[in-house]
Amino acid sequence: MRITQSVANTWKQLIVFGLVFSLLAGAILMIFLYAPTEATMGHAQRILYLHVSVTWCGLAACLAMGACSAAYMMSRNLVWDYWSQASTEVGCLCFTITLASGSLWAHEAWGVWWTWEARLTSALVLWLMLAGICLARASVDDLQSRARIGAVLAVLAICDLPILIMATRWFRGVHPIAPQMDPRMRIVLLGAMLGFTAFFALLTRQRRSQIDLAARVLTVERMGE
Amino acid sequence: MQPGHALKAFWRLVVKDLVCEFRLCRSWPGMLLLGLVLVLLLEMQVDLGTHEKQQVVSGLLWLDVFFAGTLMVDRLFSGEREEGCWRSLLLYPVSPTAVFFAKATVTILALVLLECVLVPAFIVFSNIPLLRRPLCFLTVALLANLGYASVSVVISALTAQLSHRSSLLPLLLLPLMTPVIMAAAAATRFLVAADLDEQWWRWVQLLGCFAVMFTTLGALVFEFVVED
Amino acid sequence: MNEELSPAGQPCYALEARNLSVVRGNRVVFQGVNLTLASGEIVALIGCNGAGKTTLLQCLAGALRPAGGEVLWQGKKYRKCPAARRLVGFVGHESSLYLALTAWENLLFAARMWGIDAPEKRAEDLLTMVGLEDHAAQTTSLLSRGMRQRLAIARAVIHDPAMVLLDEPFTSLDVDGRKWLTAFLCDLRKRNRALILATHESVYGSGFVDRLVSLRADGLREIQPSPGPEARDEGRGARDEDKEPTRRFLSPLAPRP
Repeated sequence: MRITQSVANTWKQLIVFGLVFSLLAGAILMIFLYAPTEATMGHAQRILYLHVSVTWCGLAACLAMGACSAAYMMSRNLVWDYWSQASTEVGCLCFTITLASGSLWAHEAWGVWWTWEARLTSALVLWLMLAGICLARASVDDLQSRARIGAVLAVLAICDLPILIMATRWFRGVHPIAPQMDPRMRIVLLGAMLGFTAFFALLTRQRRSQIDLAARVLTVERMGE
Repeated sequence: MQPGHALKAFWRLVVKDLVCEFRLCRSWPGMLLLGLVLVLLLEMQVDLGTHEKQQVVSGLLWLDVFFAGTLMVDRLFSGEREEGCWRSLLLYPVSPTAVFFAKATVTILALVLLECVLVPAFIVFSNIPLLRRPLCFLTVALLANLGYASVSVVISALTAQLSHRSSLLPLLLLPLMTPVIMAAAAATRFLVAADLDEQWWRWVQLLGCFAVMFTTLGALVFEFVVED
Repeated sequence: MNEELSPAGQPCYALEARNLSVVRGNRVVFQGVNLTLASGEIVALIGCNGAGKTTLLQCLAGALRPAGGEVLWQGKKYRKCPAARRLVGFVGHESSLYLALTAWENLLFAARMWGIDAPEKRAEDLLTMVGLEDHAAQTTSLLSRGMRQRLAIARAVIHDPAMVLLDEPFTSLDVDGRKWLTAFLCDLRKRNRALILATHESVYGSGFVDRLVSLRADGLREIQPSPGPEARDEGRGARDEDKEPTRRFLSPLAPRP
């Protein structure tokens, strides 16, 4: 019975992995083969599909981090903390890619690698917060203390999200708000967002499983001590 | 809990902390000394013309306040934890919110004292008129202190029971304080210019938003932070 | 003060713990702990190092949130109710005293935080009760360990609680200090207070401890207390003030119906 269940779970995992990587591969293929070349920036414009998709995933990860942290605060159930930690790490990864891809695009579009413009600055600040939370979690051994620190910092870090989202409206800068796009470009952008969202969602789930397993190992080790 | 009782408890906690600090002198003198040393070091290195200096001094001031303030923040709860006073404090019929605001008030008072030393020092060593518009500067300082105090009380309570809190505290505080420091520095930069740009008010609004958000969230999560 | 919190005419224990469990991280400290404590009863809680005695006391005092189960004070869950906190006095491992304040200031602070009327008089009375009236103006950091322990006990009972929880109160006390504390606890019992003390001491006189419970990971076990030196020495050769140190300062509680 257990073996049958294990085999069924393995097949399920393979199907999910296959689906996600298909979506991601499809998105990448669309970016390079289907999306038209932009008139002004040429092929460099294709960075937009990665940049916007990954930023959207980062924002979703931050919201998940905040929601899971709030759920942990109310229930004290460590499962919520594992999800929060996984979301934090994936969010940090997403914003790393966002900042890197944004820099590349800025260099092509504006001729500079970086400018202290409202949206870029608030994105960098959010990345610093997420990196700080990851480092703080890594430096605490006790599970409950780690969960508490992570939850509180996550709730405080969420304060930067409204600034990041509304920065281009509140502070006029050079970052584009909602540029006009060719319908094919819109389709590719939606496809890219779907593919990357599936990928990072799977990554979050896998990371959560890892964290859960690590916590169980730690518990067993402590019982042995 | 009745508001009158909460206010009295708040006041008693503030007085108790101030009395303990003035008798032991554990953190405030170190904070003031570090602040002054940083002023001297920074001013020695920044060899710029007046116009360029006006652009950087405001940032240096708030960075100095932040780093010197971490010495005081580090000791905010360790005094309570030393003899187990923290647990008995939580057993009194006092809301954790009152404790949060008491600690934040003590932190703000410490920061005000620090700024009373650092601002004249910066004015003397850099020749930049930081107090050209004193009321506007007071507004910026008040909001920055409020944001800093709220976050630092929460972080200090969070890390108080950890053995390596001294290294963890700046690591946690700095990213969260970045918007506050940036907004305060930007607002102060506009204040020292000859003409007050309207952008000054935008930065003050941003600073105010963060101060209010951090204070509200801090008061809400503090009970969770201190509960075992 | 205590009557208004309990339902009229219904018998209930001063303290009752039902199926209490505490988890630290993924480790279960203890589970399935059931304990009742009646007014005028002293219960000694023993257990090996790491058994969770301190954790259990903190749960019972309302300082620690249990993972499961509940703690009832006089029949109701009052962990978060400010009024109910007055029912409990807690003496922990550490003294819970501010070292920068004087002995009197520490008690005054505690009295004011509890909202006691005439806090100055109350602080003075408690200092006299524990024999520290000559050290009232002395900074707490300069007091000896035994004096701090007495001051900590005074701080814990300053609000006249119905039950007192003590965590290893005999630690660092000399022979006279132990005799004083034993007499003090017996006197509290006479005044119908409920007492739990966590300790490593395994030998108690039957006149001192009413019940002995041992804490293990799977719950509590009752143990019969054996007659020990404390039972024979209790009250022998002591002055009236030492036999009843709380007589002038703590009123007897009415027995529970």
